[in-house]
Amino acid sequence: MEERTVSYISEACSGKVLYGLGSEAVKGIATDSRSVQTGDLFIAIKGPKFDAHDFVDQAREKGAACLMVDTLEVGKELSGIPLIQVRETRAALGELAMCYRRDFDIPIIAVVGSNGKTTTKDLIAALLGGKFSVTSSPESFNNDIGVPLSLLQLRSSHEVVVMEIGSNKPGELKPLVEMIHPQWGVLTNIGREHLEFFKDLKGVAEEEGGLAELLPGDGKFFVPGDDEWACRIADRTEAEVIKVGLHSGNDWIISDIKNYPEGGSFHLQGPFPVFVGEYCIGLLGEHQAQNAALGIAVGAEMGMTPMEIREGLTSFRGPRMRMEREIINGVVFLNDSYNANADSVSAALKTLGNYPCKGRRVAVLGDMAELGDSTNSAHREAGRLTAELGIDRIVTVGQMAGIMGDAARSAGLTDVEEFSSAEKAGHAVCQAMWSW
Amino acid sequence: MPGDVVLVKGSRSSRMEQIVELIKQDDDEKKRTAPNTQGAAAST
Repeated sequence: MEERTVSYISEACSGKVLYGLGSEAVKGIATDSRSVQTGDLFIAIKGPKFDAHDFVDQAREKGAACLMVDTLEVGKELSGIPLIQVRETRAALGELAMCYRRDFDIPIIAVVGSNGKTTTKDLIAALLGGKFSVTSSPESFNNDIGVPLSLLQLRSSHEVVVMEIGSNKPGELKPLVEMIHPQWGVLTNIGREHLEFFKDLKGVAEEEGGLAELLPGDGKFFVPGDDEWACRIADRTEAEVIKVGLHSGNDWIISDIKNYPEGGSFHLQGPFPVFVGEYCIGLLGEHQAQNAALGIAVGAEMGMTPMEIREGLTSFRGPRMRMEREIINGVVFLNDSYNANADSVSAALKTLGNYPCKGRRVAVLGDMAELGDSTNSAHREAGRLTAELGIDRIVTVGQMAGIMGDAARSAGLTDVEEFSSAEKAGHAVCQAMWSW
Repeated sequence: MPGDVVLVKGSRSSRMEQIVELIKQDDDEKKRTAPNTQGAAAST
């Protein structure tokens, strides 16, 4: 964050300066007292496990220049340091970020979708970083805390921003889009995510399409053109729509996808002849060709050259725990443990099924959460698909282990083992690594 | 066994990353406690 005064911050979130003159400078933002640096504003947010109001003393000792609280009792104990009281600190963080973002005339690219947001966001940022000064959301900062914290990283020296926006429940996405005020949007896919709250794909599309509706008429919206729901969402935007996919109706057409142990390659045909050709990526899975092609389309529309894009693609590695390839004692682990839903499990199993392998292919699958009425059917599908893809062994973990295991057996897979917890499964896999 | 390919996947709440961490720790421990045959050969 660039330096702002206590008054600026207070006015941005309709707060009251209880101590201090208002002219004091703030140089950064922290919501975790352990990460406070000298000159920071510490915002005390109540979470499900902790109330950060309990750590304001620690924040002050670490050099915080200002405190923001919503509990007056805490404020009364804290004289000698500028103190802003707001109605609710979590909301105030968003209001501050929204105000701060309006200080910058910088294009922002927002990435939404059911799967692959972080990988696609990081990939686009890496590609654009070859030509522009780029900032992007750290890790998977994509909710009402992560998005404002990402926005508050903005500096005048930045030329473009890439941010991801997530949603677990209906109505969460649009306020974050309004906060970011993006010019361009990227939709990765529409899949069966958080069905406990979205009910079905229509509900997912309704929510994720909030980005489309809020893009400006002179903006651009990149979508997977083979996805029926994505195309319906594209009808809801005034921005220029750019479609990427395998079918001939797309603006950018992917073909000849190949898989290698450390990544893949694909051919791309696009609206600019100079971009036609083969592209190599260090990401595993055919679905990553789609994400990479979305990134290439963004880079091309931003005026990058094919050489600049190829250099960025070749050196890019995905975020941790997303199909992260690790070799331990000669065994290749595809660590995709960050999260799971029915569609991302299906994509991961297909990647395993296609992965070059001299030994056995093993799927270690844990529960998928927030699936609502689809819980049983989605876990049965995962077990059945494991067998149908010719995976040699399945290790199932958690409350749904029995359902996945039974489905795999019913589909003809005999090497099935079930565990109640990841810890127990981990110890068993350690032992089994020497005997499989 | 060397040559195998293992996919580890699950929702965040299922804490499946523990499995990969346990395997790494186990591998590190095995390497740490393995007899140093090269050292033994050098002393003879």
